[in-house]
Amino acid sequence: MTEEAEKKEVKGVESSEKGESKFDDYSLMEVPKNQRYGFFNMFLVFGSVYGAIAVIWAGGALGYGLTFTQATLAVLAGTAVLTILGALMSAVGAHSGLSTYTAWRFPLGRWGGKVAGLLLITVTTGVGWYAVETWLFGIIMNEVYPTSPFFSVGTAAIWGGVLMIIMTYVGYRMLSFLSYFSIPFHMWLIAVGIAIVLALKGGMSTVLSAVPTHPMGLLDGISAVIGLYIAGTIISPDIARFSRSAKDASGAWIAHIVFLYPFLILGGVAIVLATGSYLITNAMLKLGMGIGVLLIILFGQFIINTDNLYSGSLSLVNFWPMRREWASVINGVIGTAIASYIGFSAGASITPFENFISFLGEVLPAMGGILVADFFLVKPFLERRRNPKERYKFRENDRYYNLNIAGIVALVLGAAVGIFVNAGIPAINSLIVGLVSYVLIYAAFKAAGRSPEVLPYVYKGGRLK
Amino acid sequence: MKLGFMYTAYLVANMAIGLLFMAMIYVNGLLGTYDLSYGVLTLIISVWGLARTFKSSNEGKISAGVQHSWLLVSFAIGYISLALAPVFTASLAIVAFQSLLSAIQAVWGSFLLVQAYRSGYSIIRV
Repeated sequence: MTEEAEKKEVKGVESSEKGESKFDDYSLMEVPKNQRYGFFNMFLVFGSVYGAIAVIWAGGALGYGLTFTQATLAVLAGTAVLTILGALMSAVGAHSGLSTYTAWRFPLGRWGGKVAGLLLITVTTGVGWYAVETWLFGIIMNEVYPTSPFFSVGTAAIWGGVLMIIMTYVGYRMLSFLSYFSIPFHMWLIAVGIAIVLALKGGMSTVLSAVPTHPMGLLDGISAVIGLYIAGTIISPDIARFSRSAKDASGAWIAHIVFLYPFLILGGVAIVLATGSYLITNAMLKLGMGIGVLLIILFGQFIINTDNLYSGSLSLVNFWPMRREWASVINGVIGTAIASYIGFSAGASITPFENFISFLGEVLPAMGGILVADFFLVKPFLERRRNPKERYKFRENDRYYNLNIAGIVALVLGAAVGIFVNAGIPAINSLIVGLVSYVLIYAAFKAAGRSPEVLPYVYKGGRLK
Repeated sequence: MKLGFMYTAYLVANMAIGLLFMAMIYVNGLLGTYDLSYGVLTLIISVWGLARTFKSSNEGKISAGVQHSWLLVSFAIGYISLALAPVFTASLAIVAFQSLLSAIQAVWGSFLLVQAYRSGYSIIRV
């Protein structure tokens, strides 16, 4: 980087820090080098998402359809895909220092990045899944204490939601603190819970000889393993942007997913095969592990939902610039209201709501493919930006674009394939179509002597608009 | 007293505590296995922490101490929250002994973490 460029960059950072909230977390700018963390922090914060009991429940669904051996194969294959994709996405975050949605402004253009961030993350993760998890939190609290009005589904969803909003208000530092505090004991509790339940239900011999009640294909199993965490993988730059180096970010991603993900999902599978139910918490409660179960649920739901709300707040700020903590309150209040409404209105079905946010989520793999294609193929080989730190850099008075036609078309193509083509693994199909079509369209424009990026604007420094 | 030395003392004490938990294998049933697993875990974290401490400079000693103390405190909370579950039937003396050991781990470790924070070593920064 030239000296002049460095000065411009620093000036941009300084000017945007003036008058900004200390909880903003650099939502619309690059995270400064002195505000970044090492491998240990990255590993624990990434790992916090997997501390969630929801991963075991979701993984347990495989136990209804696959034998333990088949499930192991599905988990290994799915984990391999998530490992590679997540390592690449994390490297983008660490190199650029930008949130996922701000980085999307490069392959989609500013307007494209704003709209995609709003639809794919604010609506799905920030409000939708946040509401579902808050509602689930209310249900579990009610199961643990069925007679107390304070723990009725609707009431627990409200106070749980409020606590989650407060934690997300603080931002990454709170996320780090929560992760550091809870991950070690959370993992211990879950491992011991699984071991005890299995020990009392016949052990691994029972698990290995069990036959699934609703058999499914191996490809469907792999698809489920990938689908369970594809969203988390694609938004990993939200965390990785705080990493000191791409090596730390990618290494932490690989380490946490290789060590934690198979263990938790296969734990869920084993519980289903041994007990016939995926509700490990219920089994633990029946064994009298009350406090441990309560801690697992409390911290598991809190962390995953704080993550949901955090990413939702970043994407909302990207769409409509405001203070990040206000964005977390807006998303959180809407999500909590939905969760408590469902909780109070007995008999209300949440299925259409889940289907809607799942439908939007099916577009995400294509976006992952496009970002990887832009950062690792188009920028270095078609635009000759070899230095990865220079590929996604906003510099004062430089020209950028509101729309990138190649990205928009590739996103539509990838999403259509992901939604309508059921052959193979839809998430992988979508990702590959997004990646390949973006490169081809971009190259075609270049070959024709044109640029797919249109409607230019000049970046004036400070927070992005 | 220097923080680096205090962390070293804490990690050495945790090695001993890990060995005591491992010795609880002679308690019958699930509890013995539970204590053995926890003892092995405590021992591994302590030995790993000490190895890092001895290899590091003074500042590195404190960073390693903070990271390993944090792990030990968090696991101690996890341990005690399940150790009292009815599935682990045990005599009052054994429950008291387990509680004392894990309380030492949690309280002593927390005290050191507060000291480190006051000296500028934030847990999420080291």
